[in-house]
Amino acid sequence: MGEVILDLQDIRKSFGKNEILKGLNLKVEEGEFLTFLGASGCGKTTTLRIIAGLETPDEGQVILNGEDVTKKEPNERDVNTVFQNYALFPHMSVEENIAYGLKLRKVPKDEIRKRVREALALVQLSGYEKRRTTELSGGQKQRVAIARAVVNNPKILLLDEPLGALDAKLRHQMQLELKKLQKSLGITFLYITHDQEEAINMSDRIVVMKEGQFEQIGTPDEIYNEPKTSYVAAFVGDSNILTGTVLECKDDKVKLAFADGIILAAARGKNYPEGKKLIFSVRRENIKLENSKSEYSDLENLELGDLRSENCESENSKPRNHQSESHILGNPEAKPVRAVVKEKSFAGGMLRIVFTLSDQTEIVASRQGINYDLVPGEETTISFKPDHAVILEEEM
Amino acid sequence: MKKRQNRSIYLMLIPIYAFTIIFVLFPILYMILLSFLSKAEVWGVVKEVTLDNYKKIAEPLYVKTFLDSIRLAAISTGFVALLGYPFGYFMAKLSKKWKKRMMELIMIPFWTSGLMRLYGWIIVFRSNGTLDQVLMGLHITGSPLKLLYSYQAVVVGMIYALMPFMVLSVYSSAEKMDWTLVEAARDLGATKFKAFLTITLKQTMPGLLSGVILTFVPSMGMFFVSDLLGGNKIVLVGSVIQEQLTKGRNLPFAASMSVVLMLLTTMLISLYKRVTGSGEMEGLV
Repeated sequence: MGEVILDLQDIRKSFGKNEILKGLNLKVEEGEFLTFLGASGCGKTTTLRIIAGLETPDEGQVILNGEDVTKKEPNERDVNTVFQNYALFPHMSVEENIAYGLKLRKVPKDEIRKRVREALALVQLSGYEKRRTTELSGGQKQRVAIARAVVNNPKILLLDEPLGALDAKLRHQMQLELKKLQKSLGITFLYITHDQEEAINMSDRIVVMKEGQFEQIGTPDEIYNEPKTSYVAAFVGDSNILTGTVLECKDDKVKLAFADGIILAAARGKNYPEGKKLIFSVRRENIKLENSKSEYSDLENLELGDLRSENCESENSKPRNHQSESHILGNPEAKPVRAVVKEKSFAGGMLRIVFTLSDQTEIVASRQGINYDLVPGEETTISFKPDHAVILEEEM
Repeated sequence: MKKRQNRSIYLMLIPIYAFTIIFVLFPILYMILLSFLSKAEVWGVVKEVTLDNYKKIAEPLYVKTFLDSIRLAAISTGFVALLGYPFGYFMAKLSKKWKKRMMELIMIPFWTSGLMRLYGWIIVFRSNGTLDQVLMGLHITGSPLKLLYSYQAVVVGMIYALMPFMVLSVYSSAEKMDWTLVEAARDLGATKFKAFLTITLKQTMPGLLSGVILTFVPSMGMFFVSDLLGGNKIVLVGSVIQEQLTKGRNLPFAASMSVVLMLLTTMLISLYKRVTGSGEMEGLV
């Protein structure tokens, strides 16, 4: 620990006219679990591919273990990758897949067999040696992909959204297992995700990326509690991860069909094709509730003025509601989403309200104080400001 | 529900079965039947069952014809694979726009008759033809090469006629390939060449195999290529069958040679399948 194992120096990369990476600098310490967190197209995968040698940077150096490997082929680097789609060789058995790297390195046969067995035990797939990879479930494929990489004892293991294709429950279990694995192996992990929960749960340090630049580098604690930019703040927090379908994309805003309503999200310079499913996140406190009975106002008012002083004068509640209605009216393209209160709970000074939407999605909103007079079973509508919906990823 | 669906599928298949039976199965059976009958004095057959036609094939002259045919087919297929595989492989790596353009370039020759295109090769190969003029003009050769009516000319003609089948079947296989597999292999320590051998070649094997069969089978019977470009020097099974039918008016013997050719081809394919150990082939059973 403590030794710098990877040093990225002013890495730049363009594809055609698109500048994907705009000068990245990063030092990674040995044994570290470092996560690149960012939305779709922010350059995190390109960064990983440059470290793996699958892409050459236009400018800058990649220093791996004190050696400049910028111009070296992927097979000459002591780095292994777990690919997003697993990339298991379909014409080989599980054993042959895992042994592939060792065979190339001319490791004796007996040792290969032993190490394959150990690697399979590590990912809890003992006895699966002879299986065809096509017979495996998603989670099992994932484990084989990890075993195939770690069996080579790389200096750094690169993981490109390895849990992206798994369901929520399995994801959580694999998060814990990966973290445990990383600790027991002592290998440096560079991990890519768009899921802030994943990043916070697993990482020693998080790199938040936006449009080819590092927005902030820090421990999960720093990123969460002391976000340096509004982007990081919007991106990291108690967020709802939601899915919507693109209806239209113009004026740097994406119109999304979401549950039974229509919402707008900031496109941040991107163009998304119609019909594409997008994953986006909205922080719990940024979910606006349109409820005339509510004593507290929505977040927009929270931002506009001092909430507490307004609350003292209860007469003020009427014009406030007018204001929030006009916000919706001023955005004729958006259509609020109907939501039914499922449960309410109070913890840590925050009221947590769980809603069920028309398509059975659950969404969590949080408010300060306990005085929110929505009761379970009651119907309301929710919405959020375009800037508060952060598009994370296009669904595959 | 499912049963009814199945039944309607069978109903839809009836025309296909009918077509196959009438235009493929019956002619083959008729041909087999013919091959056991005797030749009539002038034209047609007489209903005398005999094995003479097959005995005649065993004569050295005809055995040699069969061996020559297999040899030419094997040589042509080898060259077609050697040239067509890289072609199909690199075509799959092109951008969408260029893929479409290449595909058009491959398809355009099919708009004219294959026979006419072979006549084109005569102009290229004949003494003082296009090829000679270019080579002599560049002072690479001093005198005409006399390529027309040579074995090489026939092989070139075969390669030319059969190449598209190999290119397209390799292409369709390479097109479907997941290139991240190659990246994964490189990442795990494989050189470019090793990754090609262990991953790309294995993944595109179905395309290559079906390309080989699509090339080999027709090349056994493409007598017009050797007739046009090989003069009378190279006699192939196809030419013999055609001659026996038209000039010799020996239907039974032509039929028996066709039967042997068919059996031989089937045997070679199944042998090839067993040796390469592959059941699946791109677009072929």
